[in-house]
Amino acid sequence: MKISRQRRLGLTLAEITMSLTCGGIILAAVITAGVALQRSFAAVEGYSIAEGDQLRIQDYIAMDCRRAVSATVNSTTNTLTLTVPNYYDASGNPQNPTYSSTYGIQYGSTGGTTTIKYYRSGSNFTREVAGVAKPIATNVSTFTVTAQDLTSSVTCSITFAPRFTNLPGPGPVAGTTVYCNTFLRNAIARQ
Amino acid sequence: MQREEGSVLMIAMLTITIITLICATSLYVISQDSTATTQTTAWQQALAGAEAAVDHGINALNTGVWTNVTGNNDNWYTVTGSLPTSKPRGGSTANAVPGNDNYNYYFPPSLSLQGEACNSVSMWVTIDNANLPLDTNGNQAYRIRGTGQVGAPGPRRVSNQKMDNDLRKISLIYDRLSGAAVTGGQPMATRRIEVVVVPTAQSMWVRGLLAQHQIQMSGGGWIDSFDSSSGFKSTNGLYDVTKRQSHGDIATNDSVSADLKTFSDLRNTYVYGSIQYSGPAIKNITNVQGTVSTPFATDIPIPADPSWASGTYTTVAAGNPGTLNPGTKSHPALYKMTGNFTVPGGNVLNIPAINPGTDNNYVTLWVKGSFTISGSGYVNQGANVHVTYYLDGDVTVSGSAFLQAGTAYASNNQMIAVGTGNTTPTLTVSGSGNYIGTIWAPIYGITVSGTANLSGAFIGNNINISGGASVHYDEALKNLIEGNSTGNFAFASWFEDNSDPARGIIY
Repeated sequence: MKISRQRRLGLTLAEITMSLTCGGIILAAVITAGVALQRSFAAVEGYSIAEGDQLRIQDYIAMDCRRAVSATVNSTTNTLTLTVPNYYDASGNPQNPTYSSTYGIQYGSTGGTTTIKYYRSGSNFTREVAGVAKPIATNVSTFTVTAQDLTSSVTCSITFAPRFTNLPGPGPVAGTTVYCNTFLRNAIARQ
Repeated sequence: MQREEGSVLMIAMLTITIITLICATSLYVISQDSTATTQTTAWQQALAGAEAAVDHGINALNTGVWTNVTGNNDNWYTVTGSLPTSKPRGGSTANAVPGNDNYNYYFPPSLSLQGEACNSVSMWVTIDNANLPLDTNGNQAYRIRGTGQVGAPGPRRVSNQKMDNDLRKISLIYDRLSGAAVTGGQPMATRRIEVVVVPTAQSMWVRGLLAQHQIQMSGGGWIDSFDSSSGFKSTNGLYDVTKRQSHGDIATNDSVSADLKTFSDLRNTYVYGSIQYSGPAIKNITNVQGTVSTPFATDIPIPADPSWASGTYTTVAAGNPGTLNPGTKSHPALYKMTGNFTVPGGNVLNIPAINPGTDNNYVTLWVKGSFTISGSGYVNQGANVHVTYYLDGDVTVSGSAFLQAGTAYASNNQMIAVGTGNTTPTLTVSGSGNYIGTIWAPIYGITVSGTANLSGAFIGNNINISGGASVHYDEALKNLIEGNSTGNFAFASWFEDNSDPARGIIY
C-alpha cells in the first residue's frame, strides 16, 4: 500500500489557524508599534519645532531690547516698536561712536536710528526692520506686550497654538505661552 | 512554489527598505534637531563670554591694572592701528589706557561650562578711545568691544530650524565677522558687544533737594527732574515739562528743625522722585510719586572759604564791580570783595566770554559781606562762562538775577555759601523768573518765595519753598566732578553687533 506524500506535506487546519493567529498578532503589534512610533515622532518633532520657535522669538526680542535706545507699545495693534542706533553705515560696516550734546553717544557723524517692530501677522510672528518684514516664527496665536515701565524693561508674552493635536481626551492644551522680560540696557545707559 | 518563495523575499526586502527609510529619516530629523539645539545653546553661551569680556575691560579702566591681571602672568597688550575684525595679535605689553592711535587687548581666562554644546567659552576684549572727545571735565570716554566664542558641536551644516540662521549666524566654514576660515573646521557661535563707557564722579549733586534739617513745600509748585545733556529729556538744554523725568529726589538728615519746633511738611506737593529722611515722618506726602524711605544719613560736605595766595587774586570794591573778566579754565580769574556785593535795580554786572574756546572762561568771586541783587538788577553772564561764587554773608537774589547767554546750564552758575562768621545765615530767592544753578549752602536757611522756577540742585540747612515755586533737578549735575577727579566708568551706550556682512544681514 502506497502512502500519499501530498497529504503528509500539507498543514492541518489547526496548524494553519495557529500560524494565522500568530501572524496576525505579530502584524498587529508591528502596525500598532509603527503607528505609535510615528505619532510619538510627530509629537516630539512638533515639540522641537515649537521649542525652537519660542527660543528664537525670545532671543530676537531680548537682543533688540538690550540694544534699543527707546521702546514703545501700541496696545491696540499689539506692536512692540524698538529704536536702535544706526550702528552700521550704508555699506553695512560698523561705524565709530561719536558724541552729540543732544543725543549723547551715537554712531557715525550723523547718528540716526533704525526702527524694529514685532507683531503678529496671521499665524506668523513678524520682525520688521526698517520697513522690511520677515516672519521669525509660525503657529503663533497671540502676542501681548505689557506696557509697563518702558524706560527700564519690556515684558512680552507669546502664545503658540499646539502643533500636535491628535491626542485622546481631554485633548491638547489650548496653547503654550512664553514670557520674556528684558532690561533695556542701552536705554538705561543713556538715562 | 518558486514564485511564492520569491514573492515572500521581495515583500520582506520591501518591508525592510521601508522600515530602513523611516528609521533613516527619523534619525536624520533627530540629528537636525540635535544640531539646532547645540547651535542655539552655543549662541546663548557666547553672550556670557562677550559680557564677561566687557567686564574685564571696565575692570581694567577702573583699577588701572594692565599686567598680571589674574595672577597668571596674563597681560593686556597694546597695538598701534585701528581695531581688528578678528582675534587681535601681537603688540607690546600695555601699562596704561590707549591713546588716539592705538588699542589695548586682552584674552581673559576661558569660562568652563557643563551641559549641552561646548564646555568652554573663550573671549577677548579690546579698548580704544574711538577718537571720542573729552567731556566737560577733560576726561576720556572709551569704547570696549567684548567678543565671546563657543564651539557648536555637530556637523558643518545649518539646522532644520531655517529661521534660526538669520538670528544665530553660526560660523560653519567661515567666521562671520572676519571672513577667515573657522579654526580647526569647528563651527563656532560668536557674539560681540560694543559699549562706550564714560567716567563718573562721586558727586554730591545726585538729588534735587538735600537738607540738614526740615524741608517745607507749599504753594502748588512741584519737584521733578530733567537732563540738560539729553535732547530726549530737555529742550535745548532747558527744562521742558513735556519731557519731565522722575528723578527729582529730596532728602533730609533730620526732618525736624534745629529748634525741634517745626516738622517737614510737603503739603501734598507733587514730587516726581523719591524721598529719603531721618527723624519724624514727613507730613502730607500723598503726591510723592516715588518711594519714601527712612532712615537716611549722609555727610553733607561743608564748604570753606578759598585760600588764595597773595597776588593770585584781584580785590574789588564793594557794590557792583560792573564788569568781571574771566580767566581760562586752567587759570580762572579770582576776585575778592571784602564788603557787601550789591547790584540794585536797573544795574548789571557783566561777565563776558573773552577767551577763545567753548569751555575756557572761568570766574570765581568771593564776597565776604552780603550778596544782594534786587529789583531788575542782574548778572549778565556770557555764553558758557563758568561762575563760582563764595559767599559769607546773607544772600538775597531774585529768580531772574542771573542771565546766561546761549544755553543756561546749572553747572555754569555755582553758588557756594560758606557763611563764615555768620551764625544764622539766610539765602533768599524771590520773585519770578528762572534761576538756573546750584546752591551749596549747608548752614544756610534757604527760602524760595514767589513763582521762580529753580533748575539745578540745592543743598541747605532748612529749605522752605512757597509761593508756587517749582524745583527741577538737572540730572546732568551727577557728572559734575569736584576737583576733576575721575570715579568709576559707567555705560553710556550698549550695542550687540549681530551682523553677517557676507550675507548682507546687518540688524
